[in-house]
Amino acid sequence: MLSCESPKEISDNYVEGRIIGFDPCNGGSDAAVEGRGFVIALNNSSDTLVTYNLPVNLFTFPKELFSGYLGSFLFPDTARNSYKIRFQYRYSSDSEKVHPICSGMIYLADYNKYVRDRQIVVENVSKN
Amino acid sequence: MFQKIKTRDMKRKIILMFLLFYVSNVFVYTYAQEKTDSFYYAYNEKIKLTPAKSKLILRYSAIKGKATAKIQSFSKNIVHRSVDARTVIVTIIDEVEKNNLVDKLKNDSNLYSCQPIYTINTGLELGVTDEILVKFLDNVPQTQIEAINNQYKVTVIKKTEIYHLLKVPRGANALEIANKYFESGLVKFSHPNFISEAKVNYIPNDPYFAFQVALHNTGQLFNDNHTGTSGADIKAPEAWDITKGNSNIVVAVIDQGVTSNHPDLPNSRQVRLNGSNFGTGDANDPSPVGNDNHGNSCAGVIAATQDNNEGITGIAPYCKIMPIRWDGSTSVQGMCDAIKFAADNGADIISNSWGYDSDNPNSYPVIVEGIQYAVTNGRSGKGCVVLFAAGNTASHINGNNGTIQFPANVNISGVITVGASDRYDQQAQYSPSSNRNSSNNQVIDIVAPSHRAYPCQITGETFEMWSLDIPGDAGYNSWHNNGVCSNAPAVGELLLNAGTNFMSYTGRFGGTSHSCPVIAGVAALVLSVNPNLSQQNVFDILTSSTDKVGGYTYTNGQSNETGYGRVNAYKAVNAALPTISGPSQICSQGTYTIDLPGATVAWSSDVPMIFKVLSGNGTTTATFYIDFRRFLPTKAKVIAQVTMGNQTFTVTKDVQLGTPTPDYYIFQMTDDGVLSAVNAGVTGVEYFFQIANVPLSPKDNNYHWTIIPPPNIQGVDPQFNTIGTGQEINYMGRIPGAYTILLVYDDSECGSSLESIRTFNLSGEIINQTLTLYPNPATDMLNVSLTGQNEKSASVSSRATSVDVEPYTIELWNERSGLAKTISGNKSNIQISLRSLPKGMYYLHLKKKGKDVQKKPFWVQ
Repeated sequence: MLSCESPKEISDNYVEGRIIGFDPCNGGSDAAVEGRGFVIALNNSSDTLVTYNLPVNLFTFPKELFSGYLGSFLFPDTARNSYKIRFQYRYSSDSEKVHPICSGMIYLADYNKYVRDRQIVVENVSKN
Repeated sequence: MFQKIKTRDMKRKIILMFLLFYVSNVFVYTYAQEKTDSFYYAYNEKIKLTPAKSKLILRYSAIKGKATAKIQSFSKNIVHRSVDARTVIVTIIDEVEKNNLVDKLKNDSNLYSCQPIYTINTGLELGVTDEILVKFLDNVPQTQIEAINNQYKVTVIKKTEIYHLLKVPRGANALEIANKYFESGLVKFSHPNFISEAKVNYIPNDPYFAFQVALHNTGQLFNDNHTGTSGADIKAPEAWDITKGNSNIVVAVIDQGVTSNHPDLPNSRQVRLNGSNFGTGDANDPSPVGNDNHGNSCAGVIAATQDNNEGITGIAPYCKIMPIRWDGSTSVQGMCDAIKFAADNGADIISNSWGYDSDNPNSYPVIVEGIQYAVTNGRSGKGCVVLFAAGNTASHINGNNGTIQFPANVNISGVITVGASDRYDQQAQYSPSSNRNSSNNQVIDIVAPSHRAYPCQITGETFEMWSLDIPGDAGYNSWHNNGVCSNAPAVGELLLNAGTNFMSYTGRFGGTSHSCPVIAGVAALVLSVNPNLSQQNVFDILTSSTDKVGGYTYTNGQSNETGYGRVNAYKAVNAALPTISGPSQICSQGTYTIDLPGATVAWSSDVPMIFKVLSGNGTTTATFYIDFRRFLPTKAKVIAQVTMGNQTFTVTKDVQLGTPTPDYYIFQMTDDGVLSAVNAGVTGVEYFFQIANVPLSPKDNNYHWTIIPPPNIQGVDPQFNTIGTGQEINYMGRIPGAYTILLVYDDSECGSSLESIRTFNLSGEIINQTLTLYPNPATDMLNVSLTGQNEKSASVSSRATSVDVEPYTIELWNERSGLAKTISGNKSNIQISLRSLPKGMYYLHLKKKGKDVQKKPFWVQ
């Protein structure tokens, strides 16, 4: 889950990826709330991104996927290949970046290290 | 009321009183009070023992019976306390009376041992009687055990697998024999069978207190079969011996809400205010929603009810909680409003176990300003104490030191950034470290215990702190959070699953979220005993009273891992106690004040028969007086038992009644070999006496030394010859016989007191030592004659014959301009030219080995 350069404007090309987790601070164990952060792993790349504008109704996520939010931002292993998407994206500007309020019981080391600063805005998202 | 003692008269009375009772063998009794190097072995560590000046412990051969009455008959100033049928502890303030008592006790055939009560550096008192405890090494043969037992004439009283209990002979020093056993190399341990009162700190009856290792860690078994390091805790029971909090102190918990009328936190102990919900739902209801138990757990750590036979205990169980709720919908403006709401509505402390996923200390200026408002305007200008959890952003096991999240890293003085330690007093795996190279104020101020690591960091670790839960199934008990790591608590886990209202409690709290309210609870205890403190004062007290745990490098008091260290509630509360202002020495009466407006103060002293309250009891200012019917100069304590709200605690101040008496003093001869010379009785040498173990003070010149010569020459020399003043004096013995030295303390405020007495014998040849100056006044030449200075001569030297004497130096000092001339020599008769010296008064100082031996005045015309 290493980072590489992301476009600052919406790319012309579509990319494919998988939703593998979520921002543990925003939404807690609630499955799909408006503005929830989702962690996306790009296919054919080791890049991991997070977006806060995934359409709410794109998937119906079981609540259990989020219930480990205190200790991990990742879905359980068995669910990490279940939510495939195709989309265009760009890097979020500083003013667009989201910093949700976070309970002091949540483990953030891994999320901060691999994901926090890789915020993107997605467009034209579809299931893949 | 106070009849001031005339110094000179008093001194003479003291000396006469001494002469009346003094007998040559007063100090024959092998009594350890004057020993300053006593110690015992705790395994191989030498523990220094200081004899308590005013306490003895007596052990009798058989039932002591009427012994105590007999002791009491010696003096009305004796207080005794029976330890058991054979043992009594005697308290006697006056040293002369105590020595007198010891002398009389020597004639009591039923007395087996008499020792001082010792204290160690913590003030713990240890009594040594006639028994010692030893454990012989496994490979020591029985013959060797019997040999050493015979050597010290001990009797074996009891043998177990752990120790042998041995009784020393009558009059023997059990402490010294115990040390000899250890130094023999035959034993694993050896020490007196101390009589020492075990101090029991307050332990509440709340059943889950046994699991609250953050508060009291004895190495007990708790969650997940874990044990920790004994003492890796905040010392809560020790602090509760002083205070459990003041109901006037309010701690705002800005979090996910607190359950109304929780079984362990009823509404009578909450300040639930309209407008305190800054999340969704009823603005007037700060109760949690769904499984969001985080606020309950934070609040419970601070102030859960104590001693209700249920659940847990809070750190400040008499203080109150002001729940202020937020949720994911709360904007940054809402969080600012929540902080200001707390400050405006009487919160003394604001505990914040939340933050933003950002390490910029100015991430949201509106929140920075809200915090600044609280620390500036809260508590009528003294400032709210504001604390933030640093966040769980580190994974040290993976080399990730994490970052301190906003607002914990806000650049406002006195705001407390809280990290986490663990059950071993180590930095918790997830607790971020300080990074002083960062421009983002990445500084941990202090840590408090929490869980050790997240399940994905260390296998077998997970949340293990105890607090409140939402009653019923919601919240953390049962556990609703799935774990990605295999050893995380399983969904549906019940911890606890039995006990009164067990679903209202959880053992699955943790993170810096737990550490922050721990510090908030300690801050509540601090403010409880001293509500006058500013928020910066509280920061300073908390950070200066920590334990430097973990073995980390502390530079200027701080480490990157734990800041100033792990909080210590006991030390913090002690450091916060208000002080009693008033004189530290009184001769007749004095007025004392404690600056706690509105408090009720019961004043007393620890010598109630002597030092009494004249007026002011019940108020913050009281006047004390000395009852001279029972007066003995002594140290005393002014005791203020302070009641504020529903708490009562005690503050003391040390006071000297009358002329001060040093704790311990001995005479020491400071010149090389002089001590042995005195003991050997050699004459014609210089005797330098010095007060030892008396702290230097501005009043050192108030010590006056007096020599009482032998009776056969009294009248030849002045009977009472004050020979010097100050810390050190010297005296040259001349005539054989038993000399007595007295040390008297003159105090301009309260008169004089006898400080100490000691005798020494001079014997051998009579050597007159005379320094003669002539003519006096002189003009051009001064003749100096030193007679009796020849160490090899037993005769009196004449003025006419100059002989070799011990090398000396003569200094001529002008009374105005100082040192005028220095001459060295070894002849008994010399002439000194005065031609270059101005007219006036001079002193000739005769020095040997750099010390003044004699001085005489003369005049130059």
